[in-house]
Amino acid sequence: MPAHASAAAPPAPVSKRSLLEVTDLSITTAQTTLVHPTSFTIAPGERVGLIGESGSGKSLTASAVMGLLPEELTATGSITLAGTEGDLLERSDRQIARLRGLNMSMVFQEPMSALNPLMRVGAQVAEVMRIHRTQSKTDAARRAIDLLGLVQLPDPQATARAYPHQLSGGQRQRVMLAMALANDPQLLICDEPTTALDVTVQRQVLDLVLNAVTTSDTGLLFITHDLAVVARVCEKVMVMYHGEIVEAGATEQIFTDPQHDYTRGLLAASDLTATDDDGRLFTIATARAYDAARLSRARFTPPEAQVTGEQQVATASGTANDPGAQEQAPLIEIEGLHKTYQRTKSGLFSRADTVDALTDVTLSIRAGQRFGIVGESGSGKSTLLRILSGLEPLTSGYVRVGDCEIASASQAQLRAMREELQIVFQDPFASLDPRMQVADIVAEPLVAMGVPAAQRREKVSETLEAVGLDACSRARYPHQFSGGQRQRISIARALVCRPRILVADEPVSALDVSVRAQVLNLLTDLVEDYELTLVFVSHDLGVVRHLCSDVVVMKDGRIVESGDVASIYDHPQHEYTASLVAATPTLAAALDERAG
Amino acid sequence: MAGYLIRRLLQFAVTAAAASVIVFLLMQVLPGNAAQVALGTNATPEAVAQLERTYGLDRPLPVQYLDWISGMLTGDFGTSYVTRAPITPVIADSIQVTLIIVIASMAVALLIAVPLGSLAAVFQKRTLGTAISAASQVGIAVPNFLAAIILIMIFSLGLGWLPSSGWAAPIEGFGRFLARLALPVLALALVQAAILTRYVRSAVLEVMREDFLRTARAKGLTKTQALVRHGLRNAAIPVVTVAGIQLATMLIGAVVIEQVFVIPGMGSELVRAVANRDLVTVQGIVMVLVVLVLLLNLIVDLLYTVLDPRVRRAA
Amino acid sequence: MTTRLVASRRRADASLVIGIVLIGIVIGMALVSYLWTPYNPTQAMPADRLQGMSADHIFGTDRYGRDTFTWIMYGARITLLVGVVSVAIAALIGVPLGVLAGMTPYGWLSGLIMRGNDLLLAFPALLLAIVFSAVFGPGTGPAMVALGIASIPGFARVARSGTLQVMSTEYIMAARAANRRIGPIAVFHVLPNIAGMIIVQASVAFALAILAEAGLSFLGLGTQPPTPSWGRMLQESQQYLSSHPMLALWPGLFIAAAVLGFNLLGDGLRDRFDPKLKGRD
Repeated sequence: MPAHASAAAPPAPVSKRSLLEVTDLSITTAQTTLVHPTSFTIAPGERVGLIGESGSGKSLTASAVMGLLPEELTATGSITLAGTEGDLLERSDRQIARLRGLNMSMVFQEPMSALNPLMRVGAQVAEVMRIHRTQSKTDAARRAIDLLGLVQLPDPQATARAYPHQLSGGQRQRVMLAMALANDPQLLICDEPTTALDVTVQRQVLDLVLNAVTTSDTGLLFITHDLAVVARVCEKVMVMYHGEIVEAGATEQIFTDPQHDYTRGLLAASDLTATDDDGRLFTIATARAYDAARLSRARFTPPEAQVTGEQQVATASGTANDPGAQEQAPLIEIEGLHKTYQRTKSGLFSRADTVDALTDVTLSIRAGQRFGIVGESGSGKSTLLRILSGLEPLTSGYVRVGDCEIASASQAQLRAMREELQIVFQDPFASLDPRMQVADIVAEPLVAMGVPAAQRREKVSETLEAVGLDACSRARYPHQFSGGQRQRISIARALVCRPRILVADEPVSALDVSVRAQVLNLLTDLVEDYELTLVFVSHDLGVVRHLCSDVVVMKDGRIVESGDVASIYDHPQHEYTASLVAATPTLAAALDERAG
Repeated sequence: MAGYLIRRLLQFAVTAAAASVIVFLLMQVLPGNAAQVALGTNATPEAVAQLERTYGLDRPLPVQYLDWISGMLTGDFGTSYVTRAPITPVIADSIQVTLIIVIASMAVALLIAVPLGSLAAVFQKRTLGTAISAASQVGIAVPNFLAAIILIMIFSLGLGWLPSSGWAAPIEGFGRFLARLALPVLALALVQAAILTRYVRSAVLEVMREDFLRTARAKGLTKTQALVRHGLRNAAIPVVTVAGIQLATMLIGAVVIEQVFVIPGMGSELVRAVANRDLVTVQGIVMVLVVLVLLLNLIVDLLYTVLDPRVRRAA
Repeated sequence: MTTRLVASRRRADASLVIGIVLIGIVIGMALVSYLWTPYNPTQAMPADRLQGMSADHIFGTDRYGRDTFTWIMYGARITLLVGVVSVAIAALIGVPLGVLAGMTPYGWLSGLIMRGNDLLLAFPALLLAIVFSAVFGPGTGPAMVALGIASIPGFARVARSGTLQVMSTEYIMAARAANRRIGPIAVFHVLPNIAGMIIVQASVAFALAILAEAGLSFLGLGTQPPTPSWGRMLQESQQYLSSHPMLALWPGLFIAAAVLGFNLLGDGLRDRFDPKLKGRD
């Protein structure tokens, strides 16, 4: 059947100008249309971003190009790729497989599950070359190691022999990239490649992608929900909304002069430095008042100070972190806190591993303060929260919440303390019991306090109203709500017993940008109305900066820096803080860099 | 790794020892004792006392237990109070027969189940997949002795191709051996294949949803190539576990098949001993079966570490 | 996505319906047998021995001239009784132990429970039942108890892994932060969330118990005469295979139908309880 084999055929002249041509692509299930007729082109070497929130159809579009759509979906229209003949959509799986990994490759979102767990990493990279017979067996193995070096993996020789589970998420994503680049494809598709990674790692991976495509003149289709990332990487942007590309154009033009309401809303909601007249973040609904051009003006203000460790020791220290000025005793006090985990004993002869989750943590939070804790995964911030709420024992040190000394407190004292300190959890899909009605979920803290049923009902209604949920949600189950609504339920549960302290553990990291703004505004309102002390944990510097007055930065279980947000962000003392600030993508900085 | 091996062997030994205590104590539950049971209710007290002395049943229980255990460890299962013959040769002969049947059946079952289960997964939403699923669902519901009876009806009574019962060792002629092996093995294997087909199907379905299979396709493999090159080894891991557990179940399940085909395996000996109230023999055979089951679990666990580098490292 | 869900939902419903119908037939026969059967099961009619299917004896008669259909109806009682009792024993012991082990995963108690589980796993159902019949004498009672004990590990394992899964979720963390005590957490959060798995396990264990009892009775070590049992009917029919094959097929058919019914029920329920398991068996 190889009469139409394309790999050997000379490049078709049709595609002189564009590398990828997508015409009237629509993707449907038997019942509904997921992507409405969509057309776009990518020129050779061009970097195009496709942005949109979850469910907008952006990943499906990429899958259609690669011929990787799930069987039950049908794609119509046409897709042509330079150097190949005919319409990609008309190819059988066998025919389009010949192009995948050779003419076009793809990097996926989930670094943890995208590699074969039973196969060494080097072999997986070499396989791409063996499939397309672009290298001999020995050459492929050698080039695999070169490629692993190219994506800046430490000790490529050793990494090639490792299994995926021995690598971190960022390292696995580098392996994926090495795989995608192995045969010098004309087109590289990246589907949220850095969403699951920490910001500092994200920055490195993005640089690698950018570097790879620019040096080899590869066309790039970059899919993400993160506007700042797209602004950094791409020269052209398409905005997808409900299965339609609502706006497309040059990156600067889209981000400074958006034409479509949705684009403007998205832009306004993701700009955490902009607030409306009430000091609240913009949402899609209030975006009309947002001035998109402010970003292009921001370009001319100097970027974040590039600070080295020693230079400015004196400037930032000792402003807000100097509570000696205040008379009142701090509400929360932590001194010299250590937490060590015993790794599950793995047998007679192995060493008993201990892991230091927290080392010498010291901080104090005053009543009414809005306190941020920033750190990447593994920094110990979640452990700190669990200790603070008495849900996990500490190893040594002094922790006091209100008048409760956690280390020596009885269970009864801890319970009393927890009535004062409530938590909003990270994942709105996991933190609500799927088999409980909303009213029962919200009432849970009251039940434990022994509040009578009638009073419970009243308080639940009151609190649901306060978080903006109507009364009819009482008898419904969590799965009937969207992510943002669920996070409102979670907030209601935390506030129903009127605590003094609200601890929020990454409460918006699982939410879409437009919803994020709404939830953050709600938190701001509630903190004011209820006069709460807020402890806000996040990996996202921007969110913390918007919401908090003071912040500590954590790394590997230690506090590396603390102070008020302005001084920490603008004049970071510790080089980790500086690198974190520099790595955090912001629209202004990205646009700036482009202009520069 | 070596640590894990030692720990796992230790666990095996402890569990086996605990199981032996349970088996031993169970046999003491009956009022009276093994001698009384063996001789029947109308035996004279003198005869019972005589038998007790002969076999040391008048000694304290711990002594009897240690005696039994140390005997087994040196390959001596004692003497039957009923037949007055040593038990070891009975077990040694019958275990070979049973192992031949069970291992052959598992091999046949896997040969049927792996391709069928994979097909059922790949053609999940088409007629072929549905048909295989339905057939395996029905097959699981058929007791193996019913399968045996149906096979006898067709191949022995109907077509007259194969004998309906009896056993021949391989040395008595390979043709005779195979002819008598065929139906019992087929009876066990067909039902087993139905069970395994389901597990293979769900393991393959599971693996087909894995992200790394999509990665493999993105590298230039077709669906089928990706499944064969990357999926099957991953799918093998849960299947190996199930096959190990099923092998243990079959050791016992063979009891019934041996009865149907009048085959002198462990099962037949066990049923005969139970019928004769020959508790010492029951005790010995049960212990051998229990140790075989534990041994299979051990092998499955160790195979796991070979198949899966993630476990290897944790181990 | 949605199409696949719909398709699997439809298949799950088909499994459920067929399963419920098959189980309904068996339960119906057992219930009716208390009120009415065509003949007296113990009444031998030598004149009518070994008859084929006829209007008088729709399933024929056995070697003593007893009506096969009557025996099948009575046999349904034993089949269901064994299933219910053994599953009840296994679930009532296994589930609490499993939940306990899952809620205190690093304690000595959990270790003890799981080692005990390993030990029990060394005694497959049929083997334990044979041992019981050797020790306590053959009969339905010892068989039910033995099958029940042998099914404990299955329930304990399912309950434990379900509990571990539930306990690691954020909503348990939230419940603890809301000052819920361990008891209410077990009752209000863990049990409702693992109930689906337990019911599926019960239906699978029921099917296995039916198979094991049939096998045991086939060996003559289960239900004893004169109580009618499908397994023993099958065994007694063995010597008439060449002349009267239907004698073997009727009880065989009903055993298979009952087992199939419970397996299908389990499948259907599994898909019902967990739409994420779409397409899996």
